[in-house]
Amino acid sequence: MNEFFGRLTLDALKHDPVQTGGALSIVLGGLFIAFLLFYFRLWGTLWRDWLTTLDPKKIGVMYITVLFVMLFKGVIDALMMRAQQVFSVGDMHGYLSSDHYQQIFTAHGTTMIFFVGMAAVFGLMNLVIPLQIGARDVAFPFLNALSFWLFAMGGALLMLSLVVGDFSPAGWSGYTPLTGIRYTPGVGVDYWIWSVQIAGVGSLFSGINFLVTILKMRAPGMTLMKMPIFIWSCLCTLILIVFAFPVLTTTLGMLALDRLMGMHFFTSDFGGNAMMYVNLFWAWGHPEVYILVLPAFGVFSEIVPVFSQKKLFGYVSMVWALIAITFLSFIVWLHHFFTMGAGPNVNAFFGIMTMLIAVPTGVKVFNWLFTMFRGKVLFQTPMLWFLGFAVTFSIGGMAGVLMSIPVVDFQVHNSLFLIAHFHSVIIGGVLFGFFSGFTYWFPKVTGFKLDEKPGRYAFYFWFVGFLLAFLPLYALGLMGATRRLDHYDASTGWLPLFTVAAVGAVLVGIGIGFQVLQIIKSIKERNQHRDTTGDPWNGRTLEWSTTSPPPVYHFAVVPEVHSRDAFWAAKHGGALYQKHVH
Amino acid sequence: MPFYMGIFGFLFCFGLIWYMFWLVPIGFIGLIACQISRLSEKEPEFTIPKAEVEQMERHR
Repeated sequence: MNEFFGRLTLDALKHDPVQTGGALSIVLGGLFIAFLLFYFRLWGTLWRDWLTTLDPKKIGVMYITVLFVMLFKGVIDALMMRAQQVFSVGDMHGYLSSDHYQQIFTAHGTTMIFFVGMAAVFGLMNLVIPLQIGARDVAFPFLNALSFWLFAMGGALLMLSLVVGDFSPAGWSGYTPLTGIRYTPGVGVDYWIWSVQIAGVGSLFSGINFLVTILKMRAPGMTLMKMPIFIWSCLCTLILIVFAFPVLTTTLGMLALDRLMGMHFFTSDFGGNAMMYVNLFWAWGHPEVYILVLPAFGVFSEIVPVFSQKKLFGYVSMVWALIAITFLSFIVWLHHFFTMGAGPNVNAFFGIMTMLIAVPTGVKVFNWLFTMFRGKVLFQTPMLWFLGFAVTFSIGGMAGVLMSIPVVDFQVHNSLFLIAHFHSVIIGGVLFGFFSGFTYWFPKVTGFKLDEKPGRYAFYFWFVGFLLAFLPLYALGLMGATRRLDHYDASTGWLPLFTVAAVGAVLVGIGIGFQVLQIIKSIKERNQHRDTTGDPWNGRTLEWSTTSPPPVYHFAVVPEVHSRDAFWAAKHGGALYQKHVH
Repeated sequence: MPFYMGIFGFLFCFGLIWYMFWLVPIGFIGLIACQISRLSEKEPEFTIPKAEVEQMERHR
């Protein structure tokens, strides 16, 4: 019997009280959803319309559903860590064991990067790309569904680790030799490897699929330089995905071989090289952060012109900035480990390249601001998210340029300063961008707008909560507080700043509460928020030329494109193709 | 079928995580079988007939 279940014994279900709470909430949550499905007799609908669908719009909705579930989990992880840091100072030791705390920060990072960030990227791509390029479907619908299910199963493995066994204690980047079988023998690291691996393979398939969709399925007349900027940003993202994800897959594969078959790719003995792992991981990892943020840039490039009622400032420079970022993002990975000791020349090269990448990014920020300049700006929720982004992303970006100087990086390496930096750019960039795009495209997908008022509250709580939660971390980092800290001495005097950060995290939690409220309220009152025109925001691109929600084939007559902002041109004096516009 | 492939992928990974090595080939063979079945489909695309599109367009 023991052979049959391998390492799986009843001990895998035994946890400390806090972990049991997490496991129970997963199990009860699952049972509750199953109960609702039985109660409303929705199993058939679920199976026919969702689980077996090949429709990119529905797959996009499923990505975003997974995103919200995982975001909820990731934020609870974050709140638990912040609470621990407030309660674990001096003689107090908090409520989490060190081992559990390690699992939480690993799970937080893994959840947020792979299952929230990537879900935001692919959710929006599925919903928007085919509509915006005037296509009737994606290039490979079957592969698209397969990508989603591989991704979802990765998320399922991560969730399962809360109930059966435990999760990796070795950080979301899983550095060797710590993640080798010798130092971390349990199932945790294996859960981490395989949940990331299976989701990563799904991402690679999606990358190929959408790359082909954009290159081969654009509406007639839509040349590359007439594509909406969101499509350009997706194109650059997809190129990054296709180049970067194979690196992740092979790296994790080698780590798995080390652990399962006793090989020595990354061990510290028998010719293994642990530093090789770090190089390979970030050779994927740095492009990955641009994979996350470029679609958010694309979202803002759509939203700012629409809500400023003015065409995008500097289209061509936007395109070249994207291409420059795409190229540069592959030659900066070493800045994640300046302290490894690669030598001054190598560090100087990667430091300078890292500074350079701020230039195209700055071009983009100024282009958005110039788009607003002298426009009739409508301050609706998507635009509020943009304004929040402009502040938080710029703060985070400047901290990044500071850290690109190797000598400074030696001081703040692995400190909370770094944590503050990348949360500023990832929350302020990726998440704010996603929320902005979510509000903007929501009526296109569902046929009704989100209620404005709770959305504004959500934004203000997120924005203020974000600043309170992360600005203290810059100071703490400079005072010497390191990341992944579950206990510190009272004489450090860090407690007040950690308390402010915890309050900020609670405010972010309230912001998420308002978002849930917003979605529930909008669904309940959907008849008041109906979008009957298909063009609720006075949009500029082709997705607004069809009905909301669009029919399964998107366009009865495939639109012809003669200029940038094709739908805007059609609305303003384009009698030529009025008949295609519904 | 993509859903089944996801399930087989899940079993494959679960087997590797817990050293339940009999589960690994099941997951792997399942994935290959799904691929063969998909590749053997004579008609991988579907067409919405013109009449149906016209009807849907009239109804909105």
